[in-house]
Amino acid sequence: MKRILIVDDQRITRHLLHFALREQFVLEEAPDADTAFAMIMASPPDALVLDVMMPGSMDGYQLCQKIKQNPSLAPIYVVLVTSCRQAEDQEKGRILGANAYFVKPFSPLMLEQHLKDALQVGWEICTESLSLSDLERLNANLAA
Amino acid sequence: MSTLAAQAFAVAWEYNPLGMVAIDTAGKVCAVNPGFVRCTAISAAQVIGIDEADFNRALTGMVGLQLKRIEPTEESLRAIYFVNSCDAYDTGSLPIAETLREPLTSIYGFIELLYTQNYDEQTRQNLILILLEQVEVMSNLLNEQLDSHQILFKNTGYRLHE
Repeated sequence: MKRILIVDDQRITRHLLHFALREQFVLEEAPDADTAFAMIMASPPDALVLDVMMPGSMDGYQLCQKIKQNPSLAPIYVVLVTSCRQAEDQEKGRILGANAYFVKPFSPLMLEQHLKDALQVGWEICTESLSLSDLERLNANLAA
Repeated sequence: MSTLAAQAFAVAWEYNPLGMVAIDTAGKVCAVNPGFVRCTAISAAQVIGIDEADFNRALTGMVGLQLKRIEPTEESLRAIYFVNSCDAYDTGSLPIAETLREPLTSIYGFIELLYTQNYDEQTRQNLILILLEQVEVMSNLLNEQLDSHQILFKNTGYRLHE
């Protein structure tokens, strides 16, 4: 199962995401960006569900940038989940390298589906590091 | 402080649209709430540990901020500041909208999960309790906004829970 790190300072939002994603993914949680970065460095997850506005020395944008600027961490799929719904906020996330942007309130089932799609097929292709056996497996998945 | 009062304070600290800053007995900033970060765009790490005088100087230059200092009876605290950004009480502005979206997210999300997933009865009951708590949080936030503006419903004394 793919591993996802949920980063949100709101306990109740982490709880919601845990309920929504627990059957499809192995989940870890962090209440702030600093804790999350330490966890990522220790063991990089496959994806990050990352709140933007958090107290502490780093917000979600800064953590996203830090990950995407590190070649060994850049393949981590980053979903920003935020209350910032302005177009410029989403553009900022895109520029910093976020792979997707969900605005609160959002459908947890849509987020689950998005992560399933992104982690099972699309994102692996984007990493450009697939072996022939990886391609054959993906092809078999698509045909199934 | 009783357990209930402590829980109420924790919720007020976490969800208050006003910024709150605690000064310890040594006269240094020891904690700030998420509302402070939203009001000022200053992170907790930037102010925690600095002297109260330096904290005042840092905020004095910021346009549109109002500070109120109170001295609680709590022995471990010298003071608590309430920081009010003029924008925070503008219902069309981003900070209050963001504050309301937090409980709305959990209400929307848990209702969707309850509607679509087959949980056992105990889990359903737990999720419904969470929903009730979040509805109350949202109701309190909205009432605070209505009270602070004293625009809507002020003649009827209407409250959201009534």
